Amino acid sequence: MFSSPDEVLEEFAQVKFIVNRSVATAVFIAIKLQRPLLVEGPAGVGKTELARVLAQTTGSDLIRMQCYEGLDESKALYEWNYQKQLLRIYTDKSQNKNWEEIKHTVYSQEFLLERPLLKALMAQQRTVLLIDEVDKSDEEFESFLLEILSDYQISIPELSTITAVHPPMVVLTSNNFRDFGDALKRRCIHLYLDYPSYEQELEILNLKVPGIQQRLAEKIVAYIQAIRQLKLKKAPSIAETLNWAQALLELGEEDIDNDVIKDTAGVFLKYRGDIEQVTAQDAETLLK
Amino acid sequence: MRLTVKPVEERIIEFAHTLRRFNINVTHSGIADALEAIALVGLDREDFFDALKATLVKDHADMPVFVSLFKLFFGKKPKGPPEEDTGSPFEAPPEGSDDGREASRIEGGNSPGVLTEQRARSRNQGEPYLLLIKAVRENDYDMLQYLAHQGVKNIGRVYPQDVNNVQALVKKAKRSLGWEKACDELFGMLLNYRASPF
Repeated sequence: MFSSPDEVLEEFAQVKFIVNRSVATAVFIAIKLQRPLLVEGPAGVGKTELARVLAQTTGSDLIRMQCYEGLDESKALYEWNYQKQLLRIYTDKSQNKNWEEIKHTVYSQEFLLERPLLKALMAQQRTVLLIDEVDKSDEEFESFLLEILSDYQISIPELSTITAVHPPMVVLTSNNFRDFGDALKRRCIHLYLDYPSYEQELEILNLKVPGIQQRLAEKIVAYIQAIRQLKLKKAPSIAETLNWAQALLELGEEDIDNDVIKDTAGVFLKYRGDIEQVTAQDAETLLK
Repeated sequence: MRLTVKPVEERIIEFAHTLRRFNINVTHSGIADALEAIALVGLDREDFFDALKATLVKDHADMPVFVSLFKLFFGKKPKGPPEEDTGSPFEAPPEGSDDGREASRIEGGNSPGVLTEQRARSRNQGEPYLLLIKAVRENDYDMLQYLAHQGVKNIGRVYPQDVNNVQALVKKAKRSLGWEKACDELFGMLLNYRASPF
């Protein structure tokens, strides 16, 4: 696996994921210290993508768990397959087996429904466990998560204690929807992923939308970077920059002016208020 | 120079304790992680900064204070690999011309980038002199004392013959904290205050 932050940077670049060195260093440290990596930052900067790329570059499976309010252990960890258990009990009963025997068989791995967390702990090979939008889960779940992330083991009362053979690389993402617990944060290596710099975004654009004219690419990025400074309800993400560039390319536009922006603002802005605010301003002024 | 006076581990622990004084929630495990991380990535300034940031700061809102204090603690380091672009971040900036380039370099990662408004703002946040202004404005005697202490430390090694030259040493300590800049700003605030009708 990675032997230095530079290597992380190179491997990521190979799969066209451009980050700065700070990001690579945090990733490197998290892997080496076997700590969960907590990635925070605005929506659309590539937090989830980071986990995907990490799995890809380390040859690991990606196991994703999307958090939401009300997510509980049975959805995150495991559940007994009651229907199957019942069927088994009926069958066994008809063969006159006694309860002790039946009990033993219905609480075995065959009847266990593995949910993401258990899957990650039981994996026979390296995995990246992505716990997406952890700030959307509730507090009980959080402390339960903390327990698992501290020793990478879980006890299933009816079965046994399961300890991970290959502790998964854990990536947690958060949009600061809720300020979640200190205890969980303390376990993690922290990474704040921000919007890319002008140079970086230009590099990403050139990589992902090949064939775009350099002058247009520069203007697109400069414009997007400028409107990110405005107070918008939803600032354009990297994906939206790319979509916009693609759209302009398809439309055969070679330059950005007020008319072009008026026609295409819907590609990179998702709220009417935002569109009105942005189109009310002169593009040339914003670009300065 | 300071890094050789004390083992770097001790310096990091001291740094972590100081972060706590400034209400950044640093835990024992965080410190342990920091030490381990430094052992991994080494003392290259940028990596050193990133490693401490990733292990000690768990809340992005704490970054300005972290950057200020980092600069106070590790701001000037005499040796280090040369950087290809605008001046090495390792070297002490020429005295008196400390314009905060260092702090912004660290904050902005590895790209010099276009100086956006946001960046311009964050680069100011990384300045020790802002701590000084804050302390004066809030009558925070503890913090003033602490800053004075740091200033004296920034003088580095003192020799017996320096006794004839105390003024220069004091000047050096003040400069390391951005004393003059703080005075300018405070004076400016005072003038504005007078000028305002209230």
